[in-house]
Amino acid sequence: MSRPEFIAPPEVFYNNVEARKYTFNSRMLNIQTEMTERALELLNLPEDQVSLILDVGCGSGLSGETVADAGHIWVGFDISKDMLEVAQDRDTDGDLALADAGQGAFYRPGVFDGVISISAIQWLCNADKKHHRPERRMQRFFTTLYTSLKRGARAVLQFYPSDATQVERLTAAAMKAGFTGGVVVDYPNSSKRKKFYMCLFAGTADAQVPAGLRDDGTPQTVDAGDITFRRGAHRRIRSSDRPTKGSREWIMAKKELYRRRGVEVVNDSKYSGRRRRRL
Amino acid sequence: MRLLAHNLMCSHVRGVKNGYPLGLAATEVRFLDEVAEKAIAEQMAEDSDASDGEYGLPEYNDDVMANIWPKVVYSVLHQAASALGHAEGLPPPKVAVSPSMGVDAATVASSSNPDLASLTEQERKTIYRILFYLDVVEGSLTCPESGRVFPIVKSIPNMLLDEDEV
Ligand SMILES: C[S@@+](CC[C@H](N)C(=O)[O-])C[C@H]1O[C@@H](n2cnc3c(N)ncnc32)[C@H](O)[C@@H]1O
Repeated sequence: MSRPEFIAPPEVFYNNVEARKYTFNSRMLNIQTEMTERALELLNLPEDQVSLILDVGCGSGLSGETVADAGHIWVGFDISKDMLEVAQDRDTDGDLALADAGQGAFYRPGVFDGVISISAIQWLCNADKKHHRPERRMQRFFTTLYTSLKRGARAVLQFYPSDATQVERLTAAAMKAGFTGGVVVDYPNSSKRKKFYMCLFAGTADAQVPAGLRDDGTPQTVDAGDITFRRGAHRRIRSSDRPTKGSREWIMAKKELYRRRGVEVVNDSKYSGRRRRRL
Repeated sequence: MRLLAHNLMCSHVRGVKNGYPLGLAATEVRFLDEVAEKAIAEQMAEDSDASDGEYGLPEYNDDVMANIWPKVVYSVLHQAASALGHAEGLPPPKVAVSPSMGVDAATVASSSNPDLASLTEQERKTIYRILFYLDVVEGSLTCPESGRVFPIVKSIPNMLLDEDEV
């Protein structure tokens, strides 16, 4: 897999061209949407309530849109001006700022009901500028994140570690900042689908790290005290409620999602989702 | 940058203790609900099949307001709206914040906000509109303690710090 963070700093890699390519790629939209839905599930927000969410490395707003679709209000920041401009052109609901996570969050203490970050914080492990000290940047990031979260709230940060030491470094910085929690690994046996989520708690010492998902989508460990898989919280994203992949219903749902997000799709017809006849 | 974001943001310049509220100045502002209405009208003119509900911003909602109200420092919102010349129709705050004086972000609280139930529906709607739809397109944010200015360009505040400010 090619790793953008090995190619160039984020604000350089996600230039005008790359930002658009990224945003209007339907495969990318699917992946980011699925990971954000999972992150929301792990956030375990109170039901029937509008929450205020921070999206770190919000980019062009793909992750934020999933947060808005779930009925929440979000603000976000990103280091790439071009990604933010695409977000603006697409009229995302969240409020945006140009900022570097390694310089820390800049919000009043305790305002956020939850923080998410999708595919961004692996960049913190790199020294992209001569004066960058990655451990210092991570520390500053987690310390200020902790402060901006409401006591008892969570931060769920999906990231792509390049090796085990990155997981350790990021976890160590988060714990030093006062967070408890750990890393949830979904689909650990599939090199393609394997995903890492740091699941951090601000000010709850006894909270338990939720279980990751097995390849068949069921939790790896089910214990009585597991709060994350409580029924009902985010039912609409449970796999059993989803139309079967490839079915007409599934295709229609995907097309609807793309339309809402401004990706062009062909019109629906009675042939949509049917098998094509071979000549 | 909308005023909800301004209400949440603090200065993160190294060494600053009282980085809230950020001073707000603007040379261009707009109301996003007006922008959306105009866009809808244009769409409808072009596309006769389009229905009103397909486009546009969410309507005012008392539940959303009740959930977001504890996050807002109303005195700061009122002051920011005044600075932009749009405080009309907003109920007066219980306490006033002096624009030049930073307050400790940890101690300012929404506890001095007026009780939502004591406001008229019209007042609640006006507050909602100022929070979510008043957008600073060009302007600046100023750290109350260090005086550092963060420019707002095309509605996006630039919060990047220099190396020696981190
Ligand atoms: C793969 S994109 C994901 C964007 C968005 N979260 C999504 O799900 O579509 C990663 C983003 O992280 C941002 N990023 C990387 N390092 C960052 C940093 N230090 N501070 C803020 N944003 C950063 C990049 O600019 C890029 O927009």
